[in-house]
Amino acid sequence: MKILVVDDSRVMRQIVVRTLRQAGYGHCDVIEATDGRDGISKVHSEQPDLVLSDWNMPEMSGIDFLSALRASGDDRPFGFVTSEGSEPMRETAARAGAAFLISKPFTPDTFRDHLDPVLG
Amino acid sequence: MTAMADLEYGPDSSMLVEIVGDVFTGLFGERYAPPYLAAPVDTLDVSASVSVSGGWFGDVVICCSPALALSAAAELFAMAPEEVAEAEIRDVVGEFANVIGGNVKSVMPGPSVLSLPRTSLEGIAERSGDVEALRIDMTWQGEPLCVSIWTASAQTPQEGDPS
Repeated sequence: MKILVVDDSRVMRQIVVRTLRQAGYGHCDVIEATDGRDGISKVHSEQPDLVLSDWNMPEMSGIDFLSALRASGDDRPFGFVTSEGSEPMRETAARAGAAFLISKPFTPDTFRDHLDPVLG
Repeated sequence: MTAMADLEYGPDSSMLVEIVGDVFTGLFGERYAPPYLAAPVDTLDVSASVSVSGGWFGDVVICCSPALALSAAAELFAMAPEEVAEAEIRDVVGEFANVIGGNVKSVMPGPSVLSLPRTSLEGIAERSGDVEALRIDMTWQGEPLCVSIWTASAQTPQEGDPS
């Protein structure tokens, strides 16, 4: 099982990886990307089973990243981990094809609640 | 804690304290008590800000002492303090502003766009608002920090994409 973590903040990538481990996903391979553009490249080269992406990033935002994947026919599971979880954002994410949106700050329980149904 | 002016929308000071506490607990875990209210201090040379624009215009600014920024970066990157570089400090305080700002944006009228964080290690980070509408002074691990919300004196709501 491979998970791609996309965030322009190195410390937030580190915190997401730590939380994945605490949530019971320590057995997964975790790879990282620094923005949506880098994320597309890593999706192609690494073929992750799940993408966890920030929303607000330079170069290419998370929502543009997701839209680009879906436009290319890529329907792998994709979830947002972002600093805001308002209802309009959740609706925008769901319309674009996101499986879930986790708002920061988060806990290992939040990760389990959202990732378990996707990763089985 | 200092309420500088009334915010027509959004958090009051107690909600902002709660947001900051939740963010620190989320980032650092339960090992550290969350920040609590304290007297203002004027040696807050490290800062980060984010702007919200759309249904509401304003900025969320966090300022803290260099010692707080250093210890927070060392803790989150699991590094010795002497190994922490400027990039790590900017990353950590920028993420403070990003997450606190995102949570503030959630309770403001929308839709709005959240900017990327701006950071400064020598004073207040750049902001667009000119009116300090709400400010809380706090302490964490014996070091001071301040979170403030700034608004533009002329608010012009307009449609925007959510961020």
